[in-house]
Amino acid sequence: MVGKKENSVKCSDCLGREYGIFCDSTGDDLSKVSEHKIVNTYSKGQTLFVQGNPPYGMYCVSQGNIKVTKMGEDGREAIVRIATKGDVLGHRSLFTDQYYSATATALEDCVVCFLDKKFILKMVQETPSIATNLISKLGRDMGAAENRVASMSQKNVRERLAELILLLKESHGVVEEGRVRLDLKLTREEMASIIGTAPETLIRFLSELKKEGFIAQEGKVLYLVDEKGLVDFANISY
Amino acid sequence: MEILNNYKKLNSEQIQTITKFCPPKLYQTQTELIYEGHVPNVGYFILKGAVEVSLKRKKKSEGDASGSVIGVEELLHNNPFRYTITILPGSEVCILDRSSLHELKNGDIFQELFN
Repeated sequence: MVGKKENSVKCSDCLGREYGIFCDSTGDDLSKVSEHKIVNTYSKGQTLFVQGNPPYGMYCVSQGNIKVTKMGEDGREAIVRIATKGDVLGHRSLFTDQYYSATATALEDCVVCFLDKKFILKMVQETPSIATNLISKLGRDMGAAENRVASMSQKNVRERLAELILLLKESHGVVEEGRVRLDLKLTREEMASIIGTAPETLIRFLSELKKEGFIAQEGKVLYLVDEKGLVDFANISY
Repeated sequence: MEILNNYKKLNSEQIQTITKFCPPKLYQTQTELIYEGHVPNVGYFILKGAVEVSLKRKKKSEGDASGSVIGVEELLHNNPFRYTITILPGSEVCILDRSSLHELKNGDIFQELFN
């Protein structure tokens, strides 16, 4: 049990700070956030919040990766987003007063901070930069969602897979010896869910990409080897 | 529920104040409210409903937890919670976040709750 130790982690020391909505905050404002927040480590499979439940605050990811999923009427789960360090979760429900529209589940051990709704609304009113960053974040989320809708209707599976790999390169890419390791462990089922296809189809297209030399695989880890080639192969403007 | 006997129970006056200040919410899905070892993100007052209590991933107890206050002390003192508490569907719960608790703390009616 490390609750007390984790709660002594300061916002100023957070690995995700420069990516988050409090990145402009300094001094007193950051201290207020630091003192009020609750920090926990979520193990793989633990949920931060569940679709259909009442919202009561916002989560900031300090370390790790979290999948955001929606359950369909048929009981199938679709991954709508992967949140990583600096990302915030649960923020939209704060302003709409609707129940959580998705479930957030840790993909690995994640350090996550929680701030309650009343505190967030107070900070938004008192600190313009936090409000601006939150609006900016909401705008980027909306843009990403629109792109996703467009991809689903305009691109074929091969193009959507290539696009996913390129997006993961941006968010989770680590350059190693001339190629980029995708530092995110996703199962084939999870990858298939993100691009809206069956796992068997995903595996077939991954093999195709490997054969063409655009990607490589070592164990469960994927590497982007030829980014330009992948972009040309999938015929996307990137 | 025996395992929750150590958790505070509220009188009718306190219940009325809390439900007015933090209107109860319905949980439609079975959900872990607090994980073992976590500092609770919020405290909970179970107005009506049932919970499962687990320790080291084994269920220790399940039953009616109506009237129980869970996680408030741990939240206020940043202490890890001893069990995993899972709320069962159909339960009505008042959510006692840190900001609300600081506001409620000023009222005499809740001195016992916070000691």
